[in-house]
Parts: sequence; structure tokens; C-alpha cells
Amino acid sequence: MQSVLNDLDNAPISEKDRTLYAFIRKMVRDSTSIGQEDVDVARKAGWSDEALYDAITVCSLFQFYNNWIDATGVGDMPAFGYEMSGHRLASHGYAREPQSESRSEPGGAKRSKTAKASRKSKRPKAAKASQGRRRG
Amino acid sequence: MKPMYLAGVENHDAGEPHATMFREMRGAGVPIPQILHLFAFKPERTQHLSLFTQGVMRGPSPLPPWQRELIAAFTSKLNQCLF
Repeated sequence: MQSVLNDLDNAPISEKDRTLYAFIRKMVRDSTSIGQEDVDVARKAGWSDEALYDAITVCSLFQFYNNWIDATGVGDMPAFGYEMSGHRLASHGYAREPQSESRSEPGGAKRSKTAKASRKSKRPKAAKASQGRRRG
Repeated sequence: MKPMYLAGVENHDAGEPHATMFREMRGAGVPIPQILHLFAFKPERTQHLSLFTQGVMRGPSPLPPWQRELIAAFTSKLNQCLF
């Protein structure tokens, strides 16, 4: 995982995955530069429209969060804070169950212990990246 | 932790469910992630952001959750060093 974050072009991943992350990189650097040709490259690599839609939406949502926390001065936590956020995200997800009956969409999904354990190491990184970054 | 730029947001008297969450975290000596203050300040609207986020990151998708988390981390890292 770290190799994708640190050096995408040389990371030991499939070319299909590399194509997806390179698309995201281009989108973040200059979204106005994205064109049909870029999407066609990703589709040729094997990605469906739904996969691209989901990847683009994840990226956009986190750009929203990055912007939101930058301008409000949300900062880094000590390391154990991320560990605890990781546990909370693993067991409760990003949203609580809604209070009212009428809501159809459930909140956090329950996960098995093994799934929780296997994701534990990944989630704190994402939480850390989204929650706090060094303020210049 | 450094205080947020918006003290009025950080020190806002949160309603539920955040008030209980904050009280429990403080009681356990756990630092409150400052992003939660952004959610707690206007919960009627940020609840939709939470639900949207849950759907985007955990809802049905050809991309497994770990891959969506990787895309999120990658995006955040790229935002730290603009070209």
C-alpha cells in the first residue's frame, strides 16, 4: 500500500491497478485536464464505468474533506488517536445508524472480527490522511 | 493538539449524539479528532455527509473497501504536495 502512495509508477501492482491510480493522480493534479481519452485508457485496462464512477467519487469526496479541514485548521492527532479512529471506523463505519424509523439507508455495517482485523492496518492511514495534515 | 482556526466551532456546545461521544472520549482520555467538531457544529446537514460517506466508502461497489480507502489516502497525500 505504501508503495502506491510513495512511488506509484514503480509500485509492484498490476497494470490495471496502476492505470486506475494514475487516473486519480491526474484528476487531483488537474481535473480539467481529464478527457474522454483518459477514461478510454482506464476502460481498456478493464475498469467498468461503475468502478470509475466510484473511484472518482471517493477521490472527490476526500478532496472535499482535505479542503474542509485545511481551511478550518483541523490538525494532526497523536498517533494513538488514529489507532482509536481506526478501531471506530472498522466497527462502526463512517455513519451512525439513523435515529428515525423512516430512514431506509442503514448507518455503519457490522463486520466480522477477521475483516476488522485485516482492515485495521489500512484504515488508520486513510483516517490520518483525511483528518490531519501538517499545517505550514 | 493545536486549536482549530475557528474557536467558535471547536468549542461549540454540541448536541446529541456528539455530546455523549465527546463526553465518553474525554472521560477515557482519548483525544477528540477535530474533524468531529466540524460534524457537530451543524449536525442536521453533516449527518447527510456522514451517510453519503458511508455509502461511498462501504456501499456496494466493484471496488472493495480497502481499495477505496487506498484511493482516499492517495488523494489526501497528493493534496499535500501540489505541483
